[in-house]
Amino acid sequence: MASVQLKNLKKAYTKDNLVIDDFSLDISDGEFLVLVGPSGCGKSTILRMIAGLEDITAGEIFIDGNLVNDQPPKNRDIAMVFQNYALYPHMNVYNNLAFGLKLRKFPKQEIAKRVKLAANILEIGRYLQKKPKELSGGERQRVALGRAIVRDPKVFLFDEPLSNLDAKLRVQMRAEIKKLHNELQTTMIYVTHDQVEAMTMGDRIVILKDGIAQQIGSPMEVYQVPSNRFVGSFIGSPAMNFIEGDLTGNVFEGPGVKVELTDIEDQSNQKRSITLGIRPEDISIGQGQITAQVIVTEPLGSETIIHIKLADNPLVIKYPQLVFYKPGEKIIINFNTARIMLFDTHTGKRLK
Amino acid sequence: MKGKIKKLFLLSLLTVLALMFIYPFFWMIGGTLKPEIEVMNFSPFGSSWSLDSYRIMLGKIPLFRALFNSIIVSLISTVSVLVLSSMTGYALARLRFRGRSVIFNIILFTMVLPFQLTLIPLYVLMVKFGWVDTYAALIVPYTISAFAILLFRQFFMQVPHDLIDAARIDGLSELGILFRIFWPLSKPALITVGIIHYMGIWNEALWPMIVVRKLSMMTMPQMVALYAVGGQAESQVGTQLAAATLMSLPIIIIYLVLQRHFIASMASSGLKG
Ligand SMILES: Nc1ncnc2c1ncn2[C@@H]1O[C@H](COP(=O)(O)OP(=O)(O)O)[C@@H](O)[C@H]1O
Ligand SMILES: [Mg+2]
Repeated sequence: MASVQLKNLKKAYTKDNLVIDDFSLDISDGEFLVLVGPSGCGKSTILRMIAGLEDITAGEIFIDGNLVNDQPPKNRDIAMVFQNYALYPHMNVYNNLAFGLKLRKFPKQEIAKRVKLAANILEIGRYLQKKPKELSGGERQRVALGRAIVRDPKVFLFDEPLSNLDAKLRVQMRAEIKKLHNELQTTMIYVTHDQVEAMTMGDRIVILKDGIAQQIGSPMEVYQVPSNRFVGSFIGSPAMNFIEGDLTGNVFEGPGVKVELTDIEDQSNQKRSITLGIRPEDISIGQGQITAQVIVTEPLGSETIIHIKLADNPLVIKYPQLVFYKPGEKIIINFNTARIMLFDTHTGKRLK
Repeated sequence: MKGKIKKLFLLSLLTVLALMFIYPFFWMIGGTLKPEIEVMNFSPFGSSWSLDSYRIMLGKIPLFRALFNSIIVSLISTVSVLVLSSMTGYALARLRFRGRSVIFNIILFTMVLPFQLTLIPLYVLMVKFGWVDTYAALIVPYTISAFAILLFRQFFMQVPHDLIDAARIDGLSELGILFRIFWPLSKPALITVGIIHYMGIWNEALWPMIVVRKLSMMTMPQMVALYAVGGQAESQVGTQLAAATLMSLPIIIIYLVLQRHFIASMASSGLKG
């Protein structure tokens, strides 16, 4: 159990090419923190720097209050779970779990006790004598979790641990890792490119883009109050709709839309370039002044995703019931003005 | 029916080819057991059997001493090549350091140089070190091999990176990773390199002839060659063949014991002769 502090972390693999630029973060003891962002944004790099697997170009890392910059991975008291499981192919499951403890010179009985305990938690007791190649992907990832658990580390690090599993197993393992966190109450740092994983698992989420943190907050915060257009579009499924247009006073005008906005502080009446953002569930159908054309309807059972065209601008509506519109059909829609977000068209920063 | 004939044809062809390869070997063994006047006959079988050729040959040269020398030299050299070359291969494949590609290219370059080119400088070096007529002269130049380094490097580059990271977190040192993770995963490469190198150094005759003159320090190929062409055999072909047979016997035994691994290794290490 430990807190983790990252102070002004920088990383350049090659000269002058900063992959991580001035990244700072305080992770409190027992927190489940998720680093989320598109592939190549530097998530693994940050995690590997915390683990000690990658040199730090600049900045400081503290684990449990101790500066660990110059500590090798084995002295940081962390455990890591990898996307490709990274089990030792030539050892059976028992030895895979026991290996780290043997190297740390734990007594035999203690090792056996810990392996048994972890095997019980993860229900892998039956496989202990098997080699990794005899196991399915889900079973392998359980073993990898087990290898982390037996160490009883200060911090767990996960690098996209569920990405290689099929959709159903992923949902199941998601819940299991969360449950594990509730039981162990150990600090966990979890990297994923999947915003659903981030939203469902994290106490707090860091949204990362090009090595820079875009927003840090609870799932609710980043969903309801995204700090910029990138976060707005990245979090939420289907993604937020954006319409580029102009704001004059409190009236937004874009292709095919004119909406009067509430609680706008700016009363200067000057015309500004603005991007309007609205989530698919905040568009209603049936009444209003906006006419749009249906492209395709995707009935999902309890809800319906409707792709529409608003003056050549594609938008997505999430309708909380089963409905069906024919392609090409004209429908009347309305924006829930209270939920409209405004972004600066140039900087992407959120204005409202 | 057609398929059967084709199969039969291929089978007989393979049998003939196999016989062509194996015949000289049988002829050699036969020659050591036949009376001396029948040695040159085409048939490997003689009118009578005896071990006289072996007895005469062993009476003239200390072949068992040479066998001992050969085993010592080949064994130490092979173990050393496996350890040192895999260490170098690991560094080249898996560690990031300044000058890595330069070192790699130099190693590649040494493979292009024929051994004959470095023979004289190496000999001078051995004389300067005072190593003439010692095991050091026979072993030290063969403690590491560029070929083995390349093979290990190639093999090690295929090991997933996460595995190394997991091992580092579990607490293994770099040498620990090499010997406790990479070695068990690289059995095919180890066996291939081991056998090829062992055979190579076992059969090496030129270098020992240059650095060894004392009869008691000679390896088998050197002693057998000396015996066969050096006049001691007094033109008795049977005894020369007996020496050659004893020289090739250990390597054949090793091959037979390991052949299953060897063939599998050749296939999986991407090295086909
Ligand atoms: N060993 C490396 N050498 C050079 N560049 C690297 C290395 N590892 C990662 N990168 C680069 O750093 C960036 C971030 O990579 P990474 O942290 O793996 O991203 P993510 O895990 O978010 O997908 C990428 O542009 C990638 O190409
Ligand atoms: Mg990654």
